Amino acid sequence: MSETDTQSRQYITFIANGQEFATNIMTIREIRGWTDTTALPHVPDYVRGVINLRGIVLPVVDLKARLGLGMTEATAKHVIIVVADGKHTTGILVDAVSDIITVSNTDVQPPPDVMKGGDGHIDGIAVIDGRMVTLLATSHLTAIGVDDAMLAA
Amino acid sequence: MNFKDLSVSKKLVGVFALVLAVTVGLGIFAQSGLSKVNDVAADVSGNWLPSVKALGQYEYGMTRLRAAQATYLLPLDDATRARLIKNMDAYKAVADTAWAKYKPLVTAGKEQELADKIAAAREAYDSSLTKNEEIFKTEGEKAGTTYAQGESRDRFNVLVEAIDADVQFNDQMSAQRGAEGQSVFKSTRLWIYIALGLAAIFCVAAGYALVRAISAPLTDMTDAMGELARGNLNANVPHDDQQDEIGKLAEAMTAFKNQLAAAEEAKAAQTEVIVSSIGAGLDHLAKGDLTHRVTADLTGAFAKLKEDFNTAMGRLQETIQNVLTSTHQIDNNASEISTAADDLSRRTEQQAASLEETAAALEEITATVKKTASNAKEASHSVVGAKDAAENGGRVVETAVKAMDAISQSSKQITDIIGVIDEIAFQTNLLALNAGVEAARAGEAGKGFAVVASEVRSLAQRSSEAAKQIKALINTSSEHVGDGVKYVGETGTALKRIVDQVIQINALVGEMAQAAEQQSTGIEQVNTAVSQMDQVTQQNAAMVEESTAAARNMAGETKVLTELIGFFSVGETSHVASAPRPVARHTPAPLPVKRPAAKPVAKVAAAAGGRASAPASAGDGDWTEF
Repeated sequence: MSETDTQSRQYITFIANGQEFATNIMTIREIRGWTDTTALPHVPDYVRGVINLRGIVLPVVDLKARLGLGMTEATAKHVIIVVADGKHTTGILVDAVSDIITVSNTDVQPPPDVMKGGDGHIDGIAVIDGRMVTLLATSHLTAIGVDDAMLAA
Repeated sequence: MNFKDLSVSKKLVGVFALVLAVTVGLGIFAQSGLSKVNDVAADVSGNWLPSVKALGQYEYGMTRLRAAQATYLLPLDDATRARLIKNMDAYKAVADTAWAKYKPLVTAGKEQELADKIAAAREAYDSSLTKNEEIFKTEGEKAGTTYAQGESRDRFNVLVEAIDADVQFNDQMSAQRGAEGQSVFKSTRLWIYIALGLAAIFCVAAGYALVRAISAPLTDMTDAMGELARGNLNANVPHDDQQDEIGKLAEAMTAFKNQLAAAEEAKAAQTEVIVSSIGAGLDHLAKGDLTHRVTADLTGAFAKLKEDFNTAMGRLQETIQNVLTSTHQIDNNASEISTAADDLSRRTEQQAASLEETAAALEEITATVKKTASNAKEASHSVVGAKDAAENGGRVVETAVKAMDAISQSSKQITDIIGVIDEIAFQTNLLALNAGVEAARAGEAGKGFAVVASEVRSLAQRSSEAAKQIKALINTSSEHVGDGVKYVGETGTALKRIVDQVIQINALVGEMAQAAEQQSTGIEQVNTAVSQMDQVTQQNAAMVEESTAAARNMAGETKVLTELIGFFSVGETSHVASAPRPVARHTPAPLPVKRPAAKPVAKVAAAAGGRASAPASAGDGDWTEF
């Protein structure tokens, strides 16, 4: 898939903190249910720890906490979305996975300028059937620690 | 003055003095006879027998002396001879002592002669002894012996003969004196018998004389007194010629008899007057004339009699007048009573009828109460059944609670299973999503697969939805089961309460049954009482009829009484004013046909009693009350 493909892209929509987000399906390696994580020292609070994914140690990020909205209380019904952007493979903890949607480029609005440091965090906002779906940037999701520095700057 | 005229005390003293004299004479005679016998006995025992005994002693002493003399002549040594001499002296002393005893007992006369002979013979024998000793000493043994066998023996024999003669004389005299004493005793005894017989005859004669002189006249007097006491004033009083106490008594009795006769005569005269005057009064009374009065002059107690008679007549007159008045009133009242009794009779009959109805009603009540009692018993049984049922219900509730618990458990298991299904749906969903992701990666080649994944995902979502619904339903049903458990528990509690209350009801019903039985007993008693009342009322009715008849009879009798009383003439009568009172003073108000059944008998009786006690005040108004 190339950047020039303006036809449409497939997204996975998911819910965190009651809000619907979406991310490009091509960045997604796997979707799995919540398993308890092994906590790590000296990590940001949104990092829930690591899990063993078929022999690979996978860090898990709490999306809600990552968005600065407080800690998710994880249950068996919560879902970890394994995202890979070539450099990092990271697990994102979300409340639930909703759907696989196909969004045409025309439906995607760029993020508004008022967002502080908005570039890189979200790809845009899609309006689907009257619902607002935030299209998160995968690289941002996977970047751990960098963002803090970015956010701080 | 003869014996009859002596006073009774003198008679008694005289007779007893004579008896005493005879007794004393008899005693003196007997005593003299006894003293004669005593003299003879004393002579025999004090003179003749001691003489015989003393002469015996004397002869014994002399005989031993003679024996000693013979021994002395034998050739002996000096010592023996000396002892022999001593013995001879002792024998002499024995003879002399006996003689001394005999000497004072010698009686003058022939005995004196015999005693003198003994004394002379003794002297001759004593001299022969002396001579014998001399011959023995001077001329030797042979001469001594010869002398002893000769002269001395003759002299001793003379002495013994003299003694025997005297003993014989004394014996003879003793026997003679004894015979004398016996003859004296016999004659004296004979005389005492004669004197005793004479004294007995005399005493009997004296007693007879006393009886004749005292007891017989007293008996005669007692008989005469008895005659007088029986009222025979002509009785003869005997012994009035005697001078003693009995004669005085007879005189006094005669005087008493005469006085009584005089009094009798006076009484007869007085009686004549009384009989004539009172008789006339009684004659008038017999004819019914109560106005007559006794006017004859009577004295003493008879004046009182006359006064009493007149008073009695007055009273009688007054009484008969009153009786007449009362008879009229009774006549009126009897009619009233008759009417009242008729009414009473009718009412009593009504009462009896009411009582019978009451009895019938009571029997019905009794039956009802008995039914109630049996119903109560049945109810008790039913309540026991209800209790059992309630307890069964309790058990059922417990079972239901258990069943509910089981349901709850099952629901929980279902919930778990649903959870598993939900989990599976969730995982399926995830798998479908992964499949979708893989399909997207596959690009065009994965398009068909993406569709399948999408279908699988929608199935998973549906099954998840269904699981959620089931879960909700199960939850609801669990809640309902919980409610059901709660309600069933409450039902159990309620049943328990029901059991308790049923037990209470059972007790109450038991009490009711008991009470009903007691009621039944009580009602039976009431029934008995009512039947007794019924009986009594019927008896009353009978009695009322009897009293009605009696009242009618009384009315008739009163008329007869009025006629009878009319026989007496009492002068002016006062009853005429009240006589015309109407017999039927009022007509009783007609009885209400249907009188109240509850009117007690007692009230009727009381009313009737009140009426009887105050007939004058009972107006017509009283009757309307009934």
